[in-house]
Amino acid sequence: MFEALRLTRWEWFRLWRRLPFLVLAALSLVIPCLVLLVKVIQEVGWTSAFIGSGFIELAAASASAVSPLQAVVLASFTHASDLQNGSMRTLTSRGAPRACILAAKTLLASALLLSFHVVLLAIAAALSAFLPPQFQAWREGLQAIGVSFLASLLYLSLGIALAHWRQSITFTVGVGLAIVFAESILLPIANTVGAFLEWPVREVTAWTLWGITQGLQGDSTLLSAAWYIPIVAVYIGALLGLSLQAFRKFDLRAGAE
Amino acid sequence: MLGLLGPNGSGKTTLLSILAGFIASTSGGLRLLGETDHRQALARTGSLISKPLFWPHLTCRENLRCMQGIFAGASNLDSVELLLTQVGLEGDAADRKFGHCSTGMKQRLGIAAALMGNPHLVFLDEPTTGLDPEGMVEIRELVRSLGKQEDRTIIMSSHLLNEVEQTCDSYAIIFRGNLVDQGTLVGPSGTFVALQLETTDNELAAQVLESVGWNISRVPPRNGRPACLEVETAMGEEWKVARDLAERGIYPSAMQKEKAQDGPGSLEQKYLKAVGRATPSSGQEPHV
Repeated sequence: MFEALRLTRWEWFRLWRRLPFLVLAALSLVIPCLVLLVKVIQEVGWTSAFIGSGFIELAAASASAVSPLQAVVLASFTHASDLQNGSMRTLTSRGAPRACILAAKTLLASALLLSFHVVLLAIAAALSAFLPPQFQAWREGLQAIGVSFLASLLYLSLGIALAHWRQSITFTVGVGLAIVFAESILLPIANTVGAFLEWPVREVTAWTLWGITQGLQGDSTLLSAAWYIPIVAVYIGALLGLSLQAFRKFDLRAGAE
Repeated sequence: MLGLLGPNGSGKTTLLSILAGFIASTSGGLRLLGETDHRQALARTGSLISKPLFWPHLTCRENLRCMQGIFAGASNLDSVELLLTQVGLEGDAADRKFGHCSTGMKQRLGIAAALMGNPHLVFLDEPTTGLDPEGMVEIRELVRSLGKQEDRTIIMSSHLLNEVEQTCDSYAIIFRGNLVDQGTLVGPSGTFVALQLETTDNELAAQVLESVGWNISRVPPRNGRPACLEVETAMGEEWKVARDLAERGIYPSAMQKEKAQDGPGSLEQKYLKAVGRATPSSGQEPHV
């Protein structure tokens, strides 16, 4: 564990110097903040009625819209990039355990996703000062933020598994984002078709990655949070386990040819 | 310093990649630096295989700092500066981003990284590939100077025979994944002599010489002359054979130098013989 934490420091050393990472970090915060700001302006300016159960929940909804994309791209920055460019060979050249390297990269990406949610929460809290008290539903808001973070970890694990499967940035980002968009596009369509055919799409998908992530993002009433958390933990464990197996088994050839 | 030779596709890079832990061997075992725990042994090695693979958005200095942190646990700036100086990457060159460096600078950084932590064993895979003639000479000089340092073994693969002759003390030739020849490179190529030795115990002398890497052959009695050993050595380096024997308390009763030869003793001839190709001067048709 100490070894993984030590390596995490040097993962950060490399990551924060990457311009694309800084752009991602800025965009990840700017987009949800704009949404929140618009709502505050609407409310303060009485231009329209504020619709929603709470401002913090709105922050969580904004985060959950951005964080899956952010998680997949982060997986490509931390994992796929080193695998494709061959710098993973440099990392492993002195016998550092591959499990530690994988753990260090995953820890860093997870910490960044957590930071994103915490910063967004802090911004939302600061902006909520401009709103009437009835919009500050903190308990529900914090739950929603936590759920959004959990969902982002699931997508991060998915991105890591894709990265180790093909050792390619394009594959990781392309397939990862395709899955994210496919979920958000196909589920409503499938629900509509399912309703027409009297086929319970939501029940069927609830135990798949598709159903779980939609549930985490508040689009399912099938399972309670008490069920989602262990199911998501199993998905994350399975995806990271597969990643570790692939990392240990596959030769590090990319970038060297 | 060992030069690993072989034609393209013979397995030089594959062998070094297996030794460096980048790819897994399909069969067989591996013992490195006397250890069966490969990961433990790797901590005492350095490698530059295929091409230098670092982080293009970091400068040369930052790359070394990062690697030092990863390998050693903490970054020591003095030691990074020393390495940069050692490989000739001082000043502005050290602050250039790796992605913007020339091939020669990248190779130098690769060698610096391989030397980090003063490893006992260093793998260099065709370190001069892709360099211009000037760069090749510079890197060759650098590698040669590193090979002279004590307590360090360098295994350098190359398909350039003159490069191996100029930089290495010994050679190994692999062909189609098999070791087909190995020996010492006792001096510059060109003039070799066959030194014939007679001792009271030729077999013991043969074992001693073989153990220190001499290329010897056992000559049976003929034309009234007793059995002897024939040692191949560079002209002017014959004393080294006598020294190696004397260190083990063996003193030749007779020592005769056969005529100097440029042919069969040269690395080129050994290489061609080892990979199964006849030389044009031998009158045989080459075959592949």
